[in-house]
Amino acid sequence: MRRLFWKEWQERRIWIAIWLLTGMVTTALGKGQDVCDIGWMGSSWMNIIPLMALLTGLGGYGSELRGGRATFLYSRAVTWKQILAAKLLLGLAVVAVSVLLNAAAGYLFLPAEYHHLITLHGVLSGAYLVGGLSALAFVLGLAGSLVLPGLAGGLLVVVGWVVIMNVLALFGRSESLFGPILLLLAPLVGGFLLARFGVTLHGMARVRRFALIVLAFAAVGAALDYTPPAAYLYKKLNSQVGAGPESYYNVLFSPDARYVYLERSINRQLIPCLVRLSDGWFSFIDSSSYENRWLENGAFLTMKSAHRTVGKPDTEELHLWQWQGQNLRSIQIKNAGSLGINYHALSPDGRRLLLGESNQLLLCDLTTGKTRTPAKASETKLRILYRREPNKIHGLLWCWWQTNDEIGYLDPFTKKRVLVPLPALSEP
Amino acid sequence: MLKPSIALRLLWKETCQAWPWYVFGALLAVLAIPLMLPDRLIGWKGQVRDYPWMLVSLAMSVRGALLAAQRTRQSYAAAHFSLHPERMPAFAFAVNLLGVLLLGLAAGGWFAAHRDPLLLAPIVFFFTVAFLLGYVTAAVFGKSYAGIVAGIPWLLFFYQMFSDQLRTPKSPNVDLFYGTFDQVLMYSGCLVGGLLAVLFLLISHRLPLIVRCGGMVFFMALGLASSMLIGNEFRGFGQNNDYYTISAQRLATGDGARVVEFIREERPQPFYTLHFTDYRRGREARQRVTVPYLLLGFDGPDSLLLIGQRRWEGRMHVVRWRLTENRVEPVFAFRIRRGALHAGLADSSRHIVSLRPDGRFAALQLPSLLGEYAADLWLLDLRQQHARLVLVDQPGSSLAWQDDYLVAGTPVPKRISLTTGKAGPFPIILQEVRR
Repeated sequence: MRRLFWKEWQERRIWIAIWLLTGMVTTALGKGQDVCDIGWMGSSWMNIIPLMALLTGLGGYGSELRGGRATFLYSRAVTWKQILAAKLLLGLAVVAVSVLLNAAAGYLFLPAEYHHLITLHGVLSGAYLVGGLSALAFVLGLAGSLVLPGLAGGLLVVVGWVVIMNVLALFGRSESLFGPILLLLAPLVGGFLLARFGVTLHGMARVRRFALIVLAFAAVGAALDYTPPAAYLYKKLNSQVGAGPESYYNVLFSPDARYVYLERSINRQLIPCLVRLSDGWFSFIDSSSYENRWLENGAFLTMKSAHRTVGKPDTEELHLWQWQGQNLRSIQIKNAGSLGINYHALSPDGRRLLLGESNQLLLCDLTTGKTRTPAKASETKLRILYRREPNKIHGLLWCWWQTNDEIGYLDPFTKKRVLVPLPALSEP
Repeated sequence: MLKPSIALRLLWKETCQAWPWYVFGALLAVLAIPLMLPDRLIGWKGQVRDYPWMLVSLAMSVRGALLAAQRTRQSYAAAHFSLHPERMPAFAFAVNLLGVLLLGLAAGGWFAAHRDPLLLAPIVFFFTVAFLLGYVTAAVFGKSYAGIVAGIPWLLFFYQMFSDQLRTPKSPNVDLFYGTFDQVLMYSGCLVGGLLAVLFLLISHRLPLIVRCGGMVFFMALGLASSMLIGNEFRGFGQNNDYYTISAQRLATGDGARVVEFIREERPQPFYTLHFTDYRRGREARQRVTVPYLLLGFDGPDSLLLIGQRRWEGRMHVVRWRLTENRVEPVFAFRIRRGALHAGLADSSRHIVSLRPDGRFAALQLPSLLGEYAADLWLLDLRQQHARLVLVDQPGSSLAWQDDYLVAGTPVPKRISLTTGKAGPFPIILQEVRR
């Protein structure tokens, strides 16, 4: 066995060195094996480490399959088990060394601010993930090298990878369990059987046997997935997967953290809702809303595209949501269109809202929903200005509240401050 | 120089040997035009569209590897033409390189006509670099097998770097010239490195094998490193990368009365202007700065807090802008990795700042070093003048303050204690209400 190990080491050492080095460099750059406790969010560049393991594995039986070397090797006092064990154990030993070196590289080279995140759990889970994937990739590579040597074996793995990914995606859509497991197991079993019975066979015979085994496993997996236990197990496993805290999308807290807007995934659709955090009361709102934002008074402003008339383009509507006691009140701000996307200003007492666009200002009373237009820019004049100076921005550029009863804006043409006192909107 | 008759015969030999690769590549490239694939085929699995491109790239890598592996073998041509032994591989390399370039131009041009002109240069470069990578690796290891497997990481790189670009419908907002030049500049590092490596191989036949291999690896690594450097630091023709990736910012009080804008100056670069306007009092203040800043928030009626970092500096600076005196003064600085702020400014979806209304604490979310989909959340204690990294999680959409906690709008919302800096889940118990 010692001599077999030595032979394997002599043949594989360049690839092993590349494998180890790749792992250490990617981890030192923060893109490889996780050492911090950050769950599944590690970099996708981590996959380069299992890839190197795959390439090392691919060389496994390559040298034996050329020039009748296998026949020579089996003529010596060694069994097929010893040859397979030497190749496998060398790879698994490198997996262990690799994860240890990666962890050391991660610890030594990660920037200081991340050091307090390095925990035993983080190191172990990163090592478990990278080690597991590398071991699987190495064994898959070894299985590939048993079928065809060198270039052809490499291509076989590439083609196999594409096929497996696509078939797994198909299985994923049909909620399968045994199919993907058996499909992953098939190359391993095929490789094992070829190591026992097929090393001295002709190349095409090995390919035929390997293909038969993979197809048989895929067929058995697909057949098993139609049985009731498969459906039961799938449901049970999935219920355990989703047992953690609910995950949301686009979580927008109000500035005072009393309310939150979030999107829940229900039946693979994102449904937005508003939540009052003090008691958890929530209400779903229109799923077509966009340009969502909180105002300082705890009101929530959303834009929505509405289809009103057949044959005419969608119109934009501005909606305001406010909690009043136990109820969530929604008002549509009339004539607002897309106003307020550019800028808006809330009165200091939080009762009125100014919405602005380049050619118009709109004042909205938040208690009644009534609106009026305190300033408007002549569109003809603006068009002339844009023609004269196309690279400049013209129109009403900004508005503000001078006091609760007085608004200010920049004149669209002179750019000077203009102050306008306001009568209460509720009065005619 | 080669005699024309010999050159023509060698060209015919190369054409006979190589035509299936280029026909295969061209067919795949034509197949790759997403417009030519029916929607039902690509509907649920967009990545189907990327496979043809990846396979062409891999095919070019394989072609290069086979060519390099054949270079030392005796062939009919070497035995029958009166040629220097190194000339025939050089000729074969040149002809195939030309073939790859033509294929890239044809496929890229076809794609440019149907989809997006910006992608012409990357397609040419990706194919050519794949070819060079296969050739150099196979030449170093002396086996076509090594060259083929070197093509696989390239394929993955291709998938990650290029496929998103292929899927984007069009790039109307990108300046065509700058965009194309950016891409060319970035990938040219790989191309020049690969060409240098092959040139070194062709002229170094008297050196020991180990030196030849080492030299090729060195040139290839140099090319890759320069590409990465160009991509990260100097991307853009005649423009400062920071200048164009850092967007303008505007911060206003809720009533609109006080506004601060962070503006990029047109000239001279790379200066930025901080422009404060108090519309209520009719007052203005301007500061010209060379460091890109994030606007943290107003700290009282007369002060604004900013946070900034020079790209190569391993520290982040918190500064206060005294608005009445128009004076910028440092508050404190803390250690952070180099380029952290620029990573955030370049990716607007992952940077958020928030200042607690009393101005005592601030929070800063930036892209994390630890993963493409992770973000670092920093808690800044402005009174004690220190900062700490309190959370690495998926990027949150918002930050808010609740009593002694910072609340982060991460997919599983988190609550961070302001005293201990410990992060825990922020429970949201939902009860539906009628409206």
